[in-house]
Amino acid sequence: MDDLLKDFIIESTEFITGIDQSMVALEKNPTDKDGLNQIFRAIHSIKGACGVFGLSRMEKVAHAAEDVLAKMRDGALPVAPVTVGAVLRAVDIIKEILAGLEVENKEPEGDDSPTLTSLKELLQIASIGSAASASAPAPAPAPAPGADPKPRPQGSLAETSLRVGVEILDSLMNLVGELVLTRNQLTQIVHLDEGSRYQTPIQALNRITSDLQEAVMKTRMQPVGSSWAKLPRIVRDVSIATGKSVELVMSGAETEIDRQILQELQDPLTHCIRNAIDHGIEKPEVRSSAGKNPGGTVKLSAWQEGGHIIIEVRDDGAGVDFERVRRKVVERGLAGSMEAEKLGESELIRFLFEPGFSTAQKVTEVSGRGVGMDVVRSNVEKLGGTVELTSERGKGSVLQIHIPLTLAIVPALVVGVAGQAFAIPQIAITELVRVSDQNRERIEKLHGARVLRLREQLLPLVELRSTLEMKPPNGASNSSAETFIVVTQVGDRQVGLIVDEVFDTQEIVVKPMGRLVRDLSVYSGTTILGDGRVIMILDAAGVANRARALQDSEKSKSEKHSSARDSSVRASRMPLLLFRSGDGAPKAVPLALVSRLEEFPCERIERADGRFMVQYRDHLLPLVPAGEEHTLARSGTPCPVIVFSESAQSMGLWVREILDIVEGESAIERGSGKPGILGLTVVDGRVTEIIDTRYYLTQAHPDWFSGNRVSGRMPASSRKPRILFADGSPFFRELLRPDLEAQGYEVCVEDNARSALKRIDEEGAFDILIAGLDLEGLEDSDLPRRIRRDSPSLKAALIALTDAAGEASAASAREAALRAGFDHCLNKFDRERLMNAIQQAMGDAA
Amino acid sequence: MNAHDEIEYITFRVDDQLLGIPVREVREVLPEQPVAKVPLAHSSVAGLLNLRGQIVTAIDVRRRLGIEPRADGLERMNIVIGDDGELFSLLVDSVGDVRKVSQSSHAPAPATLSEVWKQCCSGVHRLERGLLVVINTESLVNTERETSCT
Repeated sequence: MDDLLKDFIIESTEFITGIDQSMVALEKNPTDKDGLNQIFRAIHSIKGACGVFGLSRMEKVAHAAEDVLAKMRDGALPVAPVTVGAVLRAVDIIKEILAGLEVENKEPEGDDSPTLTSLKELLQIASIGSAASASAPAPAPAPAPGADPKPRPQGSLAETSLRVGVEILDSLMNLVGELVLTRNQLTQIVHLDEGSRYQTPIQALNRITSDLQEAVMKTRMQPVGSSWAKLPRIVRDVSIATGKSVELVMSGAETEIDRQILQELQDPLTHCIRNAIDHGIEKPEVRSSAGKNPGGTVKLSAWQEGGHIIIEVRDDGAGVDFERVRRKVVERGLAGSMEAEKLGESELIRFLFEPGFSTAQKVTEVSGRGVGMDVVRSNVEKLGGTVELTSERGKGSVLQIHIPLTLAIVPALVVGVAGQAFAIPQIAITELVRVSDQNRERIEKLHGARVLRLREQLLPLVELRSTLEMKPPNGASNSSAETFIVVTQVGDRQVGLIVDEVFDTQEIVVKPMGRLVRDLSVYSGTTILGDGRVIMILDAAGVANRARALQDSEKSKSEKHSSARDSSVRASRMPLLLFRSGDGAPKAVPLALVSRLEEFPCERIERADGRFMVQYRDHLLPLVPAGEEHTLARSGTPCPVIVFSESAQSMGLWVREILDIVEGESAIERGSGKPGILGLTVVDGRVTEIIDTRYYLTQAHPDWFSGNRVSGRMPASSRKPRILFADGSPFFRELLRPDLEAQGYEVCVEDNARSALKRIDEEGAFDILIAGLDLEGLEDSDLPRRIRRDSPSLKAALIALTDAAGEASAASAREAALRAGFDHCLNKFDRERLMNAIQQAMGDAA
Repeated sequence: MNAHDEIEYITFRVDDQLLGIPVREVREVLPEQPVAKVPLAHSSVAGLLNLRGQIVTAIDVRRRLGIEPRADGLERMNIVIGDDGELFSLLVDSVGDVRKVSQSSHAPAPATLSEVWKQCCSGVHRLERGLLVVINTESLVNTERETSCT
């Protein structure tokens, strides 16, 4: 591009950004002659340069805006929203043309006639007005020259600053990074050689390098205010669009932050400000009646605290309506209503950052589409920062973004896998767990060693060695007594990475990956260690995704094996916990029903009245042997127990050995009717018995499924509430139907949408529909709406069930369910929420 | 460039074939360097090496051209080339001398070459003894375009 044109674009962009800000300031303070003059000069210079470059479109617009500004300056036109708005629209067009120029080197096409017309109309009004203004009161006198207490420092900045290309700064930063590495290597060499005469100069080199690093880092720093210039304009537009009066107060604009971070923060910050106005600040009349100033304030501030920059958006609006969030949480099926009651404010706030969660009552043009806060959070987290929201009802909300000062140098943990070193950024690590033979009770020695029992949680583990397809170096064996688990935060989840060795932490300089390896999502970059070795920086999220993808592909492989067996059955799959009980053959239980895995020493198991129990967290946990465990157990051996819990009740299934977590087909065939066995499924090509958890649960607590725990909440209705339950899986139909009947409902069961509709035609209205989201024919039928129409007395509850696991797929299932007309979408195996949803519906109706 | 001009090539051998790269593309030649393997990377990526603080992607030319790894386990040489600001190192069996070759001896690549070779070869020079195959470094370091090579 022509250098001259390039300079013009840079300069004009600066001018234009300034105008945006000054116009909004002018609107607030219409008598500011200096401000107006400045704007006039900026537009004038742009117009002048247009002629030189032959930019006719921009010239026309700038010319019209200049004319209007001139009339405003002369007092023939007022400084008012209508005039300011027209000039701002012209500014927008100039911006657009500048952007186009930068890309295409020529003026982009566009229709400016509406803006030009409105500017011309203003001019006409001005000429009529000036004729009439002879009698009009004279405009407020301009402040006397010299009245402005702050003289504008002009020219002084130009003498002490230089314009330097960003690429030069970036290459400086790279070079310094390399210098740091070389210094580290040198320090290491000299460190080994005590009393070396290089010690002193190396120390000096050390200090100078650190100073240089800091100085170069500073050149990349920009005041945060440089990205705030657009905000006053946005606040003006949003408050006009929402009919609110909002003042934006900015402080700490001079706080400096890495250029790259600043750029990445731009969108999230803009979104937060929009949110504060749209969701936070109330309409003027609401504010007045609450005894507040009708105009709201949004305060944007930035300051440095240690190695972090904090950016805060504080509004004096209505604050978060926690009750509405709570209702929304229940509506969305994110928690049962009883569970939701217990949620504290900070827990409720967490939901605001969930994808697709919005409490806005209506979708506005400004916000409330439910995209936003989750994006804000993920963008900030990508930069290694955190977002925090606190709120007080009626007083307002405070959103704080904490961001590290710089990205280029990060502390990292160096670990070894199969004899090779890798770095994991500290920011992703939440803790480090060492698993040795002595404390193996913490790791569930499942077949593939994939779950770590960490406090109350079952933490999924990823074996780095197999995920990265690495082979151990010759001679090194797998049998080392110790394993390390690096617990990493991946979005909302925690994932444990199994590594062979943990070395040390180092400050590493992140270098981008070469283009042949850039596409590997398991790495986020490379670095050079103090000893000159090149190592890869692992991306925990990428590693976890790959591990999951590998599992899925194995799953589809085994699906291929089994599809020959019955191709008509859609191979829907669910995770199963595989265990061995007394008689030897592996059995399985749906993992979703399992709450914990425990191991108790045999001596601790007590027997009373033919029943077994164990002291467990101040409670007695009843145990039921799955086979003949109580006769096989020897003292001194650990007894593995699968714990099932619900509400306050728990029971333990005493098994001989826990084997693995596998994917099994959820299509289950009825078994022989043996007590305790629900049916058969195929796991890894072998027919495996699925235990009937109900059988064992009732053995431990005879009243587990009886209605007496909930009967108090049942409406005293003369007729039994009728539930239509449609699901494709015979296993699941059999699991849920008796349970519902035990609670006193009348249950009709169907296995596809067509027959369900037929049932309605034949038998009349139902009060509740429970349907599998994957029900055959559901999409084409209008089952949910049909139920609602026919339900005369009750407000029908429409509940979709899904076996989608994981945050993302559960969210998309939820969306699909709501679209299909359901009220709720719950996990298939979450009995408690399902029962809550049913009770709530019945309660609402009564 | 007219037909009498001479081109300078750095010559090297892979599996006893004489290959050449124009001298102006070569930054330096190094003996075997420690290479950090990149798990999951394309099989022709031998790994990454540290060249005075800069990270260089090493390409195993044998694998890239679909040739079996060397059985004798002898050291390999690195030919460092620059491409779009990014550095690559070609791992080859041995590096020979710089040869001036007359432009007039240039011939297009024979049609009978395998697909991988055709992609990576921009022609041959007929020498007194045998052929010098000219390597197109740009295609060589572009593993996406190639279809099969292991």
